[in-house]
Amino acid sequence: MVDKGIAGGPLADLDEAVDLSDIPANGLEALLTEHSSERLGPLWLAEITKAANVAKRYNSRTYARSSLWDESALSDLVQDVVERMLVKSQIEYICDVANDYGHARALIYRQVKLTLADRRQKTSVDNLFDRAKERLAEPPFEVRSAKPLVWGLAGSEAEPDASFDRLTATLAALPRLPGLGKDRASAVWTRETLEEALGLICRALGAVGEDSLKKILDDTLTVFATSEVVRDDAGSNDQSNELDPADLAVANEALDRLTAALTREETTVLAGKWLGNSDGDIAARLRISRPTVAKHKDSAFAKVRDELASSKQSVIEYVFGRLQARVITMGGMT
Amino acid sequence: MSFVGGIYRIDAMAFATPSALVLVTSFDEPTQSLSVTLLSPDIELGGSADLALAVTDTGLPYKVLVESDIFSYAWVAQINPARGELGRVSDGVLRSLDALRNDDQVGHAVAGPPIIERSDPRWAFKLSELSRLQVLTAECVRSLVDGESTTASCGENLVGIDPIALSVPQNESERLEFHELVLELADAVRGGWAMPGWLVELALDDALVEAHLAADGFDAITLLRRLALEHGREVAPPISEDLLAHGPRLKAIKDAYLSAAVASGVGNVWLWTRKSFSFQHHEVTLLEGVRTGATHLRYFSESTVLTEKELVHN
Repeated sequence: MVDKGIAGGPLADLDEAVDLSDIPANGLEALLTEHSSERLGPLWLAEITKAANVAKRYNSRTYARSSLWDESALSDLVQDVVERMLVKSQIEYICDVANDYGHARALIYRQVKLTLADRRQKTSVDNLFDRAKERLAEPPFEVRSAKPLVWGLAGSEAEPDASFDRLTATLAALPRLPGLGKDRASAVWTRETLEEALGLICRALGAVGEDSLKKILDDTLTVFATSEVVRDDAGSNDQSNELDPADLAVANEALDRLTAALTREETTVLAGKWLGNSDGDIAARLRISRPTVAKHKDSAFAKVRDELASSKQSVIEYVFGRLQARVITMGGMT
Repeated sequence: MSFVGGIYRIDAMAFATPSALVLVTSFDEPTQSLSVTLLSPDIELGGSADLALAVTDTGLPYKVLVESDIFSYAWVAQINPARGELGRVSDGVLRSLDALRNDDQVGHAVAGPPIIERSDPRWAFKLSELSRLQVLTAECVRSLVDGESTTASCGENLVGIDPIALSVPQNESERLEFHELVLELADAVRGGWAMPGWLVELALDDALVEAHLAADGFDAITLLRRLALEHGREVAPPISEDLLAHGPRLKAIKDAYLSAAVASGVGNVWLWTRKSFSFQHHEVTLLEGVRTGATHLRYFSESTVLTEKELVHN
């Protein structure tokens, strides 16, 4: 497998060595004692403040919410790290697992980097949320209510039929665009995938309001999905720009034929595999045996192979990416 | 007291290594060892091989991933006594974990979509997690695999793979055996076994790989190649490039491997092999440099010793 370059960004160096030259004697005990009395006091805050300086190596426009990593920006970051450690109880994890001061310090540095990744995630989700609202203003979607804003699929009176967790798990498996480098947040989904996702959300919930949509996107697109180092070649690239109109027409026809050719069971099985479900879970959902799941998987793969066997590579990649999004949104909620 | 289902902090046996939180899935009383699965608080980095456990699932104040693909063996003595049992999961969670490993009905949400590409940040996270547990549990794994103590008078043990087991399968039965061997190697690597550097050489040998591909060994040889690339590192004794470059390759490597092992004072050589091979390749040519004392060559497959042969000095 070729390494396509895991470079840049806080997630890429989560476990790097940290400076241990100034470790105080009995330092860990002092941290634990302070934690037991006031949870996060001055000793912890001093360590977090020291660790926050690691942020200076990352792009300030992406991670600092300002043009410079100045004192104010670093102080703002420290507050975010503190909040993360308290709200997600990561300080308790550090107290449970750290076996010396160096280990505790390394875990605090890790919290700083994860906080930076959280910030990038928020930026990406905010951008996607804005794109989603624009897309929902056009058919096949319609505005059901102006205040508060609620959208639905035009002409559909579907009742909610899905759990929130299943919905976010399904959306999380949709193919993602690769990151765009250090300076810009990833667009996350292509225009087509965004449309498939919004259609799925509206079908699953009946209608979706602004707050719900934001929460769904927040829960779906965790830090790895929005990381700059994400480069998912499993069909996530927006290949449409690389296809000439003739190839695009051929690809879309192949996509439609494939979608029509796959049975409900084949679609559900393929979607389940893309979601990471076990064969046993898929079998239970479809009320069939595991060997039958395997048969559906084989027959689905055969259909994909037969349809794309003689196609150009660029067409294959385009169709495969679109098929993944379509199959997941059609069969992922089953 | 039942360890199974408990969440503990395990510490390194002898040197300052970062501790880790683990879930105990089984306990072997005779050896006082535990099967442990690594836990991580990095819920956001979970994949389809991980169960995401809520606070109510464990009693811990934070959410954790149970990483079904990162497991190993640790001594009971590695449990941190001051911390004791930090949390506990239900039998249902243990069943879900077992089901996840066997592709059965899990009945519990997995933590994220599959990790497919190396460029996914979660790929590096998984490798880091694997190293984290390997370092902590290597001593226990080595001792359990070796059986006897590594302090045996005849010297240290060396666990390796029989190079000849990488021969191209000639029929369906051999193909299946090769698949089993590679899967077993994958498990061992996850459990902390260090792949020798020469295996990387073989995995990158285009002629050998092509021959396997032609014999319809695609999955196995591809997995082996990936394992070698990701986990291969030279462990003593090294084999010279000169030896790697000549000969009927697999036989030459095996001879060199054994010779170097014996010359470096290794007492027992354990070689993974394919079932049928273990009975076909008893004859081992020992080259110069054999030290005094008995050296045992043992072949094993599916964790069972199939044959044992004492290597007699020339």
